[in-house]
Amino acid sequence: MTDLLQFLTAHGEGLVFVVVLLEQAGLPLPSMVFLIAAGAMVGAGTLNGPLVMGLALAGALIPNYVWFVVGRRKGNRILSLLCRISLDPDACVRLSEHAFARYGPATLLVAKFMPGLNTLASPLLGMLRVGTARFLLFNLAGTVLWIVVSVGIGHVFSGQLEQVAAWAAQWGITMGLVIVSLLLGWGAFKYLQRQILLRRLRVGRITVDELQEKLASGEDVVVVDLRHPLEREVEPASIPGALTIGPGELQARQGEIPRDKDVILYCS
Amino acid sequence: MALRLQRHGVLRVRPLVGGIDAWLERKLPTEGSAIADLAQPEPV
Repeated sequence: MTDLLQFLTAHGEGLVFVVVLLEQAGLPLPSMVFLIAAGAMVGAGTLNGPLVMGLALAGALIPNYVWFVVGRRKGNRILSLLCRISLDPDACVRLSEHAFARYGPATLLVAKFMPGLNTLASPLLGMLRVGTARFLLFNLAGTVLWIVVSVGIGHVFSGQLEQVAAWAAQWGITMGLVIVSLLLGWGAFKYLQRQILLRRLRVGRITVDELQEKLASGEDVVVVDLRHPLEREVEPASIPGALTIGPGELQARQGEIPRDKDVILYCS
Repeated sequence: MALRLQRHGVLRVRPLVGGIDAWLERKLPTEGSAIADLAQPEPV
């Protein structure tokens, strides 16, 4: 924290803009920590409060709008790309789709506080053809809320800045090492878990050519469309004769899938 | 999903490589889209 405070003092409000811009563009940076630290420095009179908040707002809104436009133009592919680079791709897609199916653009009000959702919110809303004015309005509200809360937390605790800095000087490196080790361990665990799952699935997959051949020859196969309703809204075309079952309905409707036939599953 | 179904006794289950995107890329027949619906003959 001491280094962070010194760094912020030296480079001022511009650094807040750059860090928020890069984080909202997709880089894994802890911009909320920077905003809290900046808030503490605003409270201590080292930084200019309105300028910090104005630059943080600009730094967030610009990449958010760019991602919104990219999502609108590239659709599902951009969501797959963003989820592929996430630590838990399956949870990433499920979390985003369920949140947006339930709350719509209002999800933007809390998205910035949730790292996975934050990255996906703008392209997903673009992909779902949410109106630009609606997106801008909800995104502005969510971003202002995020900045005010983060800077506010720092401001409230600005009186304890010296104590925090002293504590960080004493324990900062140890705590940092523990946190980095836990993150690396978690990342390695999720990576291994996914590789094992993919290896098991790879054994029994079917290609488009093989499926087309089976259908053309009249073979009795059951094709199941497992896409989320939101994905089907974006791409309504489906494989002819496919049984449509949303991922959330699988438990309740698995009885509809015959046990004595070849079953082919697909999603996006 | 495939593993979940296997646990429920659907043993002959296989996921499609590339999903619907791969199917669409090959321009194979579909149903449900505006283009696919237009391609269908009008019922008499």
